[in-house]
Amino acid sequence: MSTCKQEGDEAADGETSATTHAGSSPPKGGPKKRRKLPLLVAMSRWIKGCGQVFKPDKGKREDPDSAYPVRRDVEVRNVTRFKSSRGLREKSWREAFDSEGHLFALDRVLKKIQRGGIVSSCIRGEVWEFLLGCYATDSTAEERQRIRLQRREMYQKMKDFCASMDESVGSGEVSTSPPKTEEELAEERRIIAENVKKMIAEARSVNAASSSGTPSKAGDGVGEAGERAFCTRMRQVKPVVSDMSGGSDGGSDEEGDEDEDDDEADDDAVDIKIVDKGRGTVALLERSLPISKQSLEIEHNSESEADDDDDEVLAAVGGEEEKHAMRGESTPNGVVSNRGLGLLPACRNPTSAISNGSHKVDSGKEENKCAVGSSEEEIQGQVKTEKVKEPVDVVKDERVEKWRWMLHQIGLDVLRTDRYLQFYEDKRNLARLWDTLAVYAWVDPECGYCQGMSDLMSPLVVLFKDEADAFWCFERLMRRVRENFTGNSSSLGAQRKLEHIAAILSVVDAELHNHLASLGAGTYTFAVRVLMTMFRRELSFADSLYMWEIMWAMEYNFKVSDEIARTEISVPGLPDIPASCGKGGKATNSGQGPTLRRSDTEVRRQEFLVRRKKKNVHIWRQWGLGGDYEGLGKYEKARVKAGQPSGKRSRDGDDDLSLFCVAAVLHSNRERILRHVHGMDEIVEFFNEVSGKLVVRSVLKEALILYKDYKRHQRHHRKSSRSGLIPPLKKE
Amino acid sequence: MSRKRTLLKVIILGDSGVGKTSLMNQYVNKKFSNQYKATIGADFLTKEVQVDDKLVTMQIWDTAGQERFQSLGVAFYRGADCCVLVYDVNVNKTFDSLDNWRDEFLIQASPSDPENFPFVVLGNKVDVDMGHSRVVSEKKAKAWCASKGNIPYFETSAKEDLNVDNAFQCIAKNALKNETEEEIYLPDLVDVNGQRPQKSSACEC
Repeated sequence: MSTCKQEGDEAADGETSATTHAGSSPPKGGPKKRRKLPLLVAMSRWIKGCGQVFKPDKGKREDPDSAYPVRRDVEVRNVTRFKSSRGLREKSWREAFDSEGHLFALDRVLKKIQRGGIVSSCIRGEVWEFLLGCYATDSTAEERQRIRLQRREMYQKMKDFCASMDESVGSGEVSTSPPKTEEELAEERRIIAENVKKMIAEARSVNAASSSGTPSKAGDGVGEAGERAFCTRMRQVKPVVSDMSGGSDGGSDEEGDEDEDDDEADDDAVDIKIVDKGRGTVALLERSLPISKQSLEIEHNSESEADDDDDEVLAAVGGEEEKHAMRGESTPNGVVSNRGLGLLPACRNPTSAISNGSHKVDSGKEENKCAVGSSEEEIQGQVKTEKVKEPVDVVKDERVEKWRWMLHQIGLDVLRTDRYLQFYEDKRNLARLWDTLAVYAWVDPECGYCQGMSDLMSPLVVLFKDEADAFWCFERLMRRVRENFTGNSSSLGAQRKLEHIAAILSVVDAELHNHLASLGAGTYTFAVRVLMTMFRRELSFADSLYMWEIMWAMEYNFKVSDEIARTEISVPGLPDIPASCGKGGKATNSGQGPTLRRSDTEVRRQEFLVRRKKKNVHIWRQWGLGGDYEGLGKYEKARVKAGQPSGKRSRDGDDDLSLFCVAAVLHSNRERILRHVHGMDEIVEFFNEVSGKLVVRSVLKEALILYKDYKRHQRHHRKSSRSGLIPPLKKE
Repeated sequence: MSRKRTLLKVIILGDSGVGKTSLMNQYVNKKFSNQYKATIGADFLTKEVQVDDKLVTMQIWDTAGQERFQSLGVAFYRGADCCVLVYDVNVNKTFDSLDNWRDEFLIQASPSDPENFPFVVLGNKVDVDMGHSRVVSEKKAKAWCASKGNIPYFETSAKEDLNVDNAFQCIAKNALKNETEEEIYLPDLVDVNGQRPQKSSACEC
């Protein structure tokens, strides 16, 4: 971003100099010389100068593709086809704000974006925040900064919480390893239980040899006692257990394979088991004894130090690190290894229990009390662990399970999203993409993660330096397109949108629609990718950004935007966040979870409107400097004109601009489709081919025309059906 | 004058990330890239194959693996001649879902003879970590295939181009057996009227 900023500054400088050179009234000569000029020449020059002033500023144009450099080793099919120098530049953007940071020249900004996108890529992030409704149009710079900080803090809290459930969140790595399935978990639990059983048996026999204590419960055949036995036993445990698992071939094979693994993997496997065991112990002890974890550890240490035998036993069993983990302390390394086990670290801290989780930890208490007869603390712990293994391990929450599977999917997709960009050569950036998607998947459990979302998130991660800003922008973006991604195996939200496309085309181009329907493509499934990724796959990276911003500017309605900016965000499932989260005292805590209230109230807005009225609006507007604004994009204006309620998107409706864009792509190629496309495969092929050659502005232009057409047809039909000439129009 | 050509429609199904796109691309384009994007919706590639002295055009449909996209399948499955089920030998779940993919396909494609509809199972990514990270054994996979009516099974690696050709040859064979006699007519390259200049005449020497 820093480089981008520099580029932007440079571009802005270039722009400024360009405009001053071309724009100032006498292009050549100093003031002295000017006096000597004949009036006519001066006049002509002045007129020429004026012409130049009103000409669009043609400053140094940024190469759209170079703003998002592509890796050298990758061949990229799509290059930018977007030719524009008439879009929004940094200078015009900065000038659109007054001294307090109110965006007063909104209309001008919208107009410029609609005309040619955002030319200076360094302001893209900021502008997008406005377009997507992150901030109200009447907010001041100060307010925005406050909200921004507040949101970043909130994001951090969410991320921390996610990290508490799965350490790979925020670890700077992209995790692709799948969580364990039920059988695998059961298998592991069995192995752990076996390990524990054996260790107890061994420990007791050692104990029996050194002191006169009698084991209360005999394990399975313990041959000899001593450290060596432990060592070997520990290494043998896995194959032994896998024999006992008796049954599926896969199980035993799996174990066999694991055993052949190289050292590292093997060590990991052991580590996981031990860590898990240790955690189980602590979780239990925390509940049975009113002491803190730290004091527990100290107790552990002193006790085990006092008992040499025991310590040796442990050392023999698992080495230093494992011993460490065994005592229940969560080492940084140890914690990471619990991913596969489906064990919630949350059980370490019962207060952070998830709202709808069902934690069955208490059932362990009684068994705790029963655990007597063994003199060593460690063994006590192990006995407890063994006995209560299942209740503790079953600390499971469906939601967490589901989310973890989504993490797996996110991992798979992050590694194949826009990898041609140099930006993603940096692992940290991949991790940022992963983290933001992971947090979103948790925060919005109904939608979770669906393929295609990574394509939408990726540009935001590229644009925003701060991950939190990218996240919140994504959250706004998802409000527009969320429906596409929801669903299950029997239906996908995008299908409803596709039905709308069918409805649109059947009205504006019935012939084409009927042709497609006759090919079995009447469901428009072939267009699902375009719709879900919002043309990301069809256009070059830079062009898809142009497409998005022009679309958003066209759809812009400041009332909707401000409303969105002021809505509260509630995050169910997040533990209580201390009130300090909202520094401006705006954060409130409703029962559900923390909420973040958008700063501005209606009162402030009214004040602003009054103040704005006081300015001599007409003069401002005359000079094209804003003042009062309509705050509507082209498309929105067309909607209002067509009688749609201003400021209200019909959510069930067919009035998403993206739908008309898809329809426009088809409609503008109608001749080809009618003539050359004769099957489902051909339409897929055609769509792939055509979409690589899309020109953003003509698609959007056509889409707007189609919308007007569609509405006109509807009106006509409505009139006709009222007069009884034509049966009412069926949408599907 | 026209020549009869057979079109075989093959559908590749399986969980997300098992390597469906890679397998298809390896087979058709003889290329492997780890830069493939997640498939959304469906896409296809075609390849001419020689099966028992018969030249057929194989149309291989690659589909999205995430569960949510299953409902879109019906649009693409229609008229399939063979279904390829792919799983990742390193991830148990992808194997477990084969059942679901098979059932779902039979429901959505509703072939005329579901009992004998040809499936082929591919256990992909056998190259990963030299096979150390593998969790689904060949035995287990073969047992499953046997239980579903002796489905042919191949262990493949799209990355290393291991067994991919063999697998697709078998797929083509099976598809051809099931082929619904759907034929396309392509104009012959040699135009009788001689309107199109013949290449061979241009480079006579």
